Amino acid sequence: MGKEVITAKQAIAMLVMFELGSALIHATHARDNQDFWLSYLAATVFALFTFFIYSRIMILYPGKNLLDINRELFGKVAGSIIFATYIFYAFSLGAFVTRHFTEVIQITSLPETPQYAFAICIILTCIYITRNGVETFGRWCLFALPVIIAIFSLTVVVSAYLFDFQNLKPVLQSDAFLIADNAFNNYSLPFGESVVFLLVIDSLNFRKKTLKVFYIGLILGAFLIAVATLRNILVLGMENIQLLTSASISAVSIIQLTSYLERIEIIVIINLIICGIAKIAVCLAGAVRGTAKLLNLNSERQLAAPIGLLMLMLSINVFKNAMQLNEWFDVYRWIFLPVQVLFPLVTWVIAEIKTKVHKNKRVKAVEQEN
Amino acid sequence: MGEEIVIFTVLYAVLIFTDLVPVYRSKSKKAIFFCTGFFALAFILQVLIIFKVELPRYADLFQTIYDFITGKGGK
Repeated sequence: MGKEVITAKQAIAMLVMFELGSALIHATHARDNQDFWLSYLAATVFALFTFFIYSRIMILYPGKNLLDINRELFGKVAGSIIFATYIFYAFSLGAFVTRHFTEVIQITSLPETPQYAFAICIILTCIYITRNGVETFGRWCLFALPVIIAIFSLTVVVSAYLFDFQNLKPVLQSDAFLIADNAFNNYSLPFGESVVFLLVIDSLNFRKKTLKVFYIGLILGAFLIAVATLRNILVLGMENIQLLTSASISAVSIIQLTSYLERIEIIVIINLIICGIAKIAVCLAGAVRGTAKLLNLNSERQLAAPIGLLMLMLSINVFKNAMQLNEWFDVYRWIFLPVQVLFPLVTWVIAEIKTKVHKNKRVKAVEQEN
Repeated sequence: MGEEIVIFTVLYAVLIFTDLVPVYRSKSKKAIFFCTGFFALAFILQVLIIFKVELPRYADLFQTIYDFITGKGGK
């Protein structure tokens, strides 16, 4: 898997599907309101900045992975510890997303089926994807993304007759604190989670394209999530959304165009599952690849099954119930803020300084020789 | 509980057969050590969960840290 390369298009498709992963379920956060677009815009602008940081880290050290970069900047021990926190985050995120999906599927569709049954199916698929390598995964994402966008567009078009534009009022009634708080929510999930990509993106065949990949992926993903949120608010209204497990599924489930076109929420659930599997697979691939590098193993594919099974076990044990899962988000956004923003920021600043100092030294050495 | 034990035993048996056996054949000591370790850890924890042994929950641990930092724990 180490020698594998993914093209820029495949990386964009992976990033968009990663962002859509649990964001489509969560499309509207509990505290969102009619001014969601403002908080969304703020979150996207901040994400542009953090994505710039991620891409600069990769561009400054061509041919090196995140572990090498961290070790070079912070020393062997501190660099390895920082790298281990990225792995831990990728591993934990995979478990959270798995649990989130099993919880939503059980509540909305299959209440009698135990959650571990869904979790096993999801994790086995992700183990299979990870074992086949990032290249195969990239090709799969490139194939799946247009299908997902087509299905998504269809649900928006056919739900248009239910749009109630009164649901968007009152406009600009939120105070700055609420908008900032919602922007923080929208950044933490899903944009901040994209830091996991740093563990996988070293397969990109042309590093200078990293910024372009991140920005196109971010803008496309943000646009789709914003449209999903808008659709949910227009169809359901904020009061209803705050009571629902998954606003996207509920918004589509009430579509009824004549007696022939109804109960189309199943295609939304298929969409959610595909995006969810893509997200969990990125997390698993990141955790597996990172662990193999940290432990200096020759082949990382061998770790896909054991780490996938640990992820499965954690997803079953991580929360007591759906209530704790919903409450967890307040903790999650703060606890993992260092991994999402602080570590990459510090890495970038030190990398820029070191590169500049190194460059100046080389220029002086050349001048002295002449 | 019975069906859970059967399902997880079959799952682990299949994955050990398809994943761990090739690792043993590769004779890479490091890979054998870590793969077996991760498999064993996952299996033991899974069995404990099936038998409803109260394990510390990940979310609870972080909730405690969060409450300690924000001062909510003392209230």
